[in-house]
Amino acid sequence: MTINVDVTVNGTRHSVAADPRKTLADFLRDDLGLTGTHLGCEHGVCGACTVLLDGGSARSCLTLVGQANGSEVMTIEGLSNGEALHPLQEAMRDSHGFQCGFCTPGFLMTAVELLRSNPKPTEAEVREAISGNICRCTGYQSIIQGILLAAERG
Amino acid sequence: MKPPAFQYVAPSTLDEALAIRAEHGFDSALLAGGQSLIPLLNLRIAFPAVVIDLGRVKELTGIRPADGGLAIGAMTRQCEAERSDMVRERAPLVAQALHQIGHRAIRNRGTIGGSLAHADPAAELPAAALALAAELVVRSTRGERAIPADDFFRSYLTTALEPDELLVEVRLPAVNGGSSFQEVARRHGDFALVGAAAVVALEGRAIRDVRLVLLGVGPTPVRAAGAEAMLRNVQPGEAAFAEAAEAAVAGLEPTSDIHATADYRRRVAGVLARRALVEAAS
Amino acid sequence: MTIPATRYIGQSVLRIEDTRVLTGRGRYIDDLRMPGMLHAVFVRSPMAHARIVSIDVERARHMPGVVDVITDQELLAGTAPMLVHTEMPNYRSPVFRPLASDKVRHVGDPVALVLAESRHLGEDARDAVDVEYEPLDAIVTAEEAQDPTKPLVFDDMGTNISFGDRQTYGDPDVAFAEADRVVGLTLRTPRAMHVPLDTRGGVADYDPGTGELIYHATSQAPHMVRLGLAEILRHPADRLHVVAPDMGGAFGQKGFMAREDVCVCFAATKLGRAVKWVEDRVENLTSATHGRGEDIVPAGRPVGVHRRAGRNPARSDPRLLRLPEEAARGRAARGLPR
Repeated sequence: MTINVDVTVNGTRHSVAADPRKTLADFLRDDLGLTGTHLGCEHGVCGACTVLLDGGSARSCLTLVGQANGSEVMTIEGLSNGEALHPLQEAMRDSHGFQCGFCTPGFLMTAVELLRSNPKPTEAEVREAISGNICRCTGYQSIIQGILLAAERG
Repeated sequence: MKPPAFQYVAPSTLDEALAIRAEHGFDSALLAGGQSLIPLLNLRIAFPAVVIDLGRVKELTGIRPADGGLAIGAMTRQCEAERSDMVRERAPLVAQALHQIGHRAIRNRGTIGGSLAHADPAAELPAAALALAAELVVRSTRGERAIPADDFFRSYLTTALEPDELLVEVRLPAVNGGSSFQEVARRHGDFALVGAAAVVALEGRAIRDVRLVLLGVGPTPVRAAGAEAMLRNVQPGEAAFAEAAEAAVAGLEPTSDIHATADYRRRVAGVLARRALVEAAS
Repeated sequence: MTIPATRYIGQSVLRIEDTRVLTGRGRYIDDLRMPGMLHAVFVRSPMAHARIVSIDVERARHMPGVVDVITDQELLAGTAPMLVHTEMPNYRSPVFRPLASDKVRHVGDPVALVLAESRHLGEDARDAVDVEYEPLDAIVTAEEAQDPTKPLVFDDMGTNISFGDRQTYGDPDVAFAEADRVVGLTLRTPRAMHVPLDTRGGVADYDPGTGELIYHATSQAPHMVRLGLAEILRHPADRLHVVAPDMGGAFGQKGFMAREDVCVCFAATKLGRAVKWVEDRVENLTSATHGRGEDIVPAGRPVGVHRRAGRNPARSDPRLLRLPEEAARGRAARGLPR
């Protein structure tokens, strides 16, 4: 059984048949080939699958594809502008805010939401905002610095 | 961890949703925000034949004033309630409770009604609803009824909802008094290990009314009726609140699990109960 | 062409992988897709220790999208025994089978392998495999492993201890005799989980025409995996390649060939199709390697052959506190790769 899903991803509209038991994460990865959104736990605790759904951060592993029908999704692939990196991406690179990079797309999408609503967060606010994302490599300090750096640079 | 197969339906009206629910009852799962249901699907703990996505039923969303208090549609996203001036003014306990829920990504998708109907004993909203003497408005093809919060939460993940009923709205009466929500979790945003919610209404220098609820100490949020009775018509004060808090946890028999022992839950519940009372009365 | 020394030395050199990682174009194991690729889903034991009475895969075989279900019976003919190779002189290795056959020896022990068109369909079929178990006593601590009255985990080994050693430093008897006080401590370090966000997995790509097997493996030790696979699968090493793609962390967990690697490669060569296996988080937390637990136990306790009794000689000066190392290591009979 399939359902029709009409969803705009990174500005591109897709109108496709999808398996309704697929999560948005699996739909993005398998059906649309956008593998930048990663699966770390598939039960909503690690944040690696974070995307923006209708402008708000959401765990794509906890969203069924049908729930995104009629919605707009932004994934990590939509953050850069062609080859030009988004300031958050540049800042994360400059602060060495990742090692293996598996958690990075999730952190970046979370940070996009933070900086949109709070362009000059305090360190405490950054920590609070990213508390739903897990990183196993960095120990978080460099990630926090990266987000603060992006905020500083405007 | 992929969900088992199910039939997916996305009704656009409440009547449609009720009809499908009436047909399948507990063989169907109601999909609100998905933050509790979808982990159960991914872990293959739940095997609903039908998943009814309520995301398109506009009638279930919205926050409106009601009898001095307010009414919140079941499908209202937690983040919307968190940002709502009306909620902050008329039901500050809900705003306080919401802030403790998960993380922003969870609150963007999770709903008020979903959390209440899911009835996890460590969840914040059921405790807040109980502390606020909320009315849970439920509907089926047979009609509508309003269930007092005291009667709504039956057991672990179990409510008074009949197989064909949907929670459509939660009504919160006008609150005269202060409120406080206290919680201990391993990390901010985790499920509560134990928590306390208090609403204290003062008249003159005495406590006119008080409601004290503990969460994480049993299969449902627990109203500390004994402690409440001790405090009515009494002058607020550290000693009175300490005594009431002790009474609140005296008969409790929480379970021990990998997160916390029964003893820990009981002790911390007592501390949080006292803090909640103190803050609510201030 | 000579590169001036100052080009890298003393410079802040940026990593070359950053851009692709930042833009979501990293290629981690689950990002790999091949035409006609099948998904491997393991049926795993819910019991810590049990005899396998029967495995019924017939219902699973006939489910939608299922191409094959493999058990150890099939692997027996096609694989060499799996032993732990180690420098340690007295190490006794059990003989591992890629899939459990007679017994399961830990929760998560793989018992059968489903090959299906999608992970979803594979999990459906996995749930339809019926395994009948006869529970046995579980041995979960080092003490239990040293208890001769407990059942054997590997019957053929005749013991639950795979390795023991005895070391003496200085003269403990004199030290204890001269001590003002003797204090006993039991120190337990529990098992630890690695929890890389990127779980274990591999994509086996087999070309039946050339006999070439390319195993894309999220592995810290691709060369070791390659040699191991060549030996166990009896596959010519010059036609077996292991490629490590981007890896989302490992922390030691991906440092060896896993039994699952053998099964997945076997399936690919048998079916002549690419096979992907990526474990989910539940599998990673139950079936993947754990960091060992360690118990340090003082004298006065029942002492087995491999446990040296130690007491802590405490003089008046607490700085002289020394713990003669007596570590009943939690390695017991599990050995590697578990």
